[in-house]
Amino acid sequence: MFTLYKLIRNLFKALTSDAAPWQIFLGTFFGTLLGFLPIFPLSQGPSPIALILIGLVLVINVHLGSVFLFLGITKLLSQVLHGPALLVGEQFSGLAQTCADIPFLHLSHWSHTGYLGLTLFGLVCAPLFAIVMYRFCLWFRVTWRDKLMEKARLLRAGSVVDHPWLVRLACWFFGID
Amino acid sequence: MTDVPAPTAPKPTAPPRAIRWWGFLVIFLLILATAVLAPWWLSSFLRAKIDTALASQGWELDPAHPLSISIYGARISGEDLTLRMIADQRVLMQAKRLSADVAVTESLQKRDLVIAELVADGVVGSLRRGPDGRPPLVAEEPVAPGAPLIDWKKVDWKANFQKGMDQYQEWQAKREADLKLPKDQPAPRPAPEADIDWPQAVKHQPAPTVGRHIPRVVVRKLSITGGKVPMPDEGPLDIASFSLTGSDVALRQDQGEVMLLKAEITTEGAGPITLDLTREQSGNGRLNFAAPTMPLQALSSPAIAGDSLAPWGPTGTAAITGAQTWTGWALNGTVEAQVSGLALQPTPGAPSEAKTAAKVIAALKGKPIRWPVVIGGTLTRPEIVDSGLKKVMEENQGVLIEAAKEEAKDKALEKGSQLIDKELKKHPEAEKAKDAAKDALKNLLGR
Repeated sequence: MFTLYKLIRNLFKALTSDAAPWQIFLGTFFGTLLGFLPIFPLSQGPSPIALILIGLVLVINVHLGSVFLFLGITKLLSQVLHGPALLVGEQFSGLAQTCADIPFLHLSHWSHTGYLGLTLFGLVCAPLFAIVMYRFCLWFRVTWRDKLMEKARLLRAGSVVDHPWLVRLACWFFGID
Repeated sequence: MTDVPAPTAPKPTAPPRAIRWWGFLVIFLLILATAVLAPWWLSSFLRAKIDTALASQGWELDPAHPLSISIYGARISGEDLTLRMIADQRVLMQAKRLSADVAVTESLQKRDLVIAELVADGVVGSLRRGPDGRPPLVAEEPVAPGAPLIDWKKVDWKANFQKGMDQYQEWQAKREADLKLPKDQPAPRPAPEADIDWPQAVKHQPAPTVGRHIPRVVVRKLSITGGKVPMPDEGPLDIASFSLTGSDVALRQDQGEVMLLKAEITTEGAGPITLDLTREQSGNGRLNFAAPTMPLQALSSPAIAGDSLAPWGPTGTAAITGAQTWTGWALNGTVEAQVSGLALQPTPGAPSEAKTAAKVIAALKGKPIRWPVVIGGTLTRPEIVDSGLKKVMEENQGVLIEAAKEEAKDKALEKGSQLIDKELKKHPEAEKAKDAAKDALKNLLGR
């Protein structure tokens, strides 16, 4: 939980830092995908597509905090969604059979009804989460960051601000000095 | 109100680069770590696979001397290996040294497991039946519910051979059919496999394609030498030592491949035996075998011939040579035996014809007999086309006729004497005259 907290804090710091929104967008996208995709199921072996994604995460200058945060969250989420993922995978058994005939996708476990369901969840969620994070980053930076900085300045000057403890907490959490 | 510095806002910086150069370094280090750790992981994985395959047969390798797998050296080797039954820890096979070098380039090119050289030395083992009568390498046959259990103590080797060959023929026909599927007929897709980690889910398997490649195992050079290997039943054919050499050994052969296998066996009581097999990819083959000093006692041993020959008590030595060729499944061949020193010593319980035959054979006085047998039929059901008895008779006509005459004469004399005794009993005077003649003869001989 502490790790998750640290990850969330790092992410919010990134919102106030100089990380570009596209970095957060891609970080969220890759993190979500990696969270839903099987990376190395012990009984099935490593998934080449997941290894390629990890390589891309390392090489492309994406925001690693977002990657780790969404990887962690969606990994936990995928554990909870095993049942629905299996139902979806079984609905797409035709696609699973097609994937079985494509060696790269077969090795990436897309021919596995359970992992295919999770992958489909990932393919739907990754762009959604990425867009949400992108928009949130922009909105936060435009609407909140400057306001928060101003309130922090006033607090230091001894001025009275509404809910000072809330402002302090927010400044601490977002890493605004 | 004091002058307070403004909170540190992010300084305007240059837009972030698209590429993280140290990422390449991390990937390189990860590849390096994989290259270092993969052999350890892969060898453990392969060892586990081998153990699982052996366990499925009820066998295990002695963990004190495991197989050594070198991934980069493409080599599997081991020393003082022991293969034993899991159930009763009975030792099946031991090898002083075993090594198998995998031809990596050829394996990758042909998508087969090509073993460049397989060498095993000091192989000893036992094929003796277990407590249930089952030989150790024979898998337990699945029995239908309610069906009688197989009595392994009364195994019919001939029937088992035919059964095994029938199964092989069926398997090969199915494989051929799979490989030559018509283009308009889609190949049946293999059943999806279950996942042990996610039991409700299945993993679909690739559909077989027409003319697809089925991986096979080929041994380019084979050399196995060993010592004692007792057969399922104690007898003269128990192996004292053997060597098996071969080239291009495979169950399924590639275009143009010719498999050669040569076995040289020294038996405990049946002399040396050599087998020389050649098999072409076209389905044609040849098997030559020779047993130059096969004692007939060995052939008539109950472990080999059952109870049919043992009461006849044959002795002598047979120099047996055989040559068989086959095209497809049709078998064509001869087995020629040069029997020398043949004699029959029937046991008290032997049939009467055995005693007659013994007298006739005795007339040959151990003269060598050539006995050619012609074999035909199919590989799965070999048949004796010509027993060769006619030729044996022709070649030894004179001696056998004389022997038969002598035997007939003896029989006639015996019968005549019985008749005379019968008649004499009817006439007491004649009986007295016979006794007087007997006494006179005794006196004469006494002087």
